[in-house]
Amino acid sequence: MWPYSITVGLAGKAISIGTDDAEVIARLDKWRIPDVGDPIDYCLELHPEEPGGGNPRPFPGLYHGSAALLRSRDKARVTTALLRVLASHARPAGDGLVRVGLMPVVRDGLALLVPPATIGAVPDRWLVAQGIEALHTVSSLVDPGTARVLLDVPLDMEAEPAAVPLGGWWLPPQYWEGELSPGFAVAQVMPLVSDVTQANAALVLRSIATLVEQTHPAFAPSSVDAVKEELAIAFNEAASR
Amino acid sequence: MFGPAAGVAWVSIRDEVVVYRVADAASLVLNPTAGLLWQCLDSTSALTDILDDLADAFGADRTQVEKDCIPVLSAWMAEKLVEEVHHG
Repeated sequence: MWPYSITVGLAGKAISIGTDDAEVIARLDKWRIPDVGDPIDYCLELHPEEPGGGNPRPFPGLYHGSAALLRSRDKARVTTALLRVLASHARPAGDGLVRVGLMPVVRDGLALLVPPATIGAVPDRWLVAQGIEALHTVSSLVDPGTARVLLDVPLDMEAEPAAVPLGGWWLPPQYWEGELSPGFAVAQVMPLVSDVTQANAALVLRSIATLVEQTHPAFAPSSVDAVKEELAIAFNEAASR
Repeated sequence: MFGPAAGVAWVSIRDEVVVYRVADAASLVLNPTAGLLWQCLDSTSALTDILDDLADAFGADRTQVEKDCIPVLSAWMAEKLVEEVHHG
């Protein structure tokens, strides 16, 4: 059980957050709605307890279910990640945009979209040293018309979302290798797209096909070393296009 | 006459067709031949006309085309990807 919890209403959705930090609850208070009794969606642990027994103290972290979205000693960064995640829920795709369940990593003004779990396994310090900014979140808004990623602004911050060219995208790793045909790439992406309805399905499908034609996705590598290597390659290739 | 069922969207990309069923977010990728049959299911054309056209297009035996296509169409109907359309 978390000492503090809150349910917030964002774009018609109820999202519950558990935390060990009262300040975060105060920050989210203006979006508070009555508790709907759902299980906790996100957990923000900023003050992890000493485990004792000579074990190392865990880093502060943001969790979605049992999956860690970000663990970092930088509490402000972890809090910002929560606020960005909430912003992604607050801004559903519309106007020909699509929201895909991948997170942006940015270098030199180009964005790669990658599975959160793939980047979650790579040490934060290594990414910073490479000049890669990982924007930890659960989904990204993409404009298929311009092939740009519209970076979500954290929930209580006033700023226009930056639009960064999409340099590439990785899909969750699979247990088979080989090149994805364009059709299979579209089929692999579609389950990652949010808010697909009977009314917009044809448009969303065409949008994803357009994106696949512009920038062919690949499966994410499954080992940390391979992720590091492939990130560098993907950014270099995108920059040279 | 047959056409995509309600809640089914599709897109043609290169020589493939991707069929997407909203209810369970399921996708099916059709190869060029199956994709051609799919694109003929326009809720307007009679199945016999479609089979005639496919036999002409491929220079194939009409009976064989029917033998090949009907099981595919039946499978799509069983998967609720395609529905029979009745015009007034």
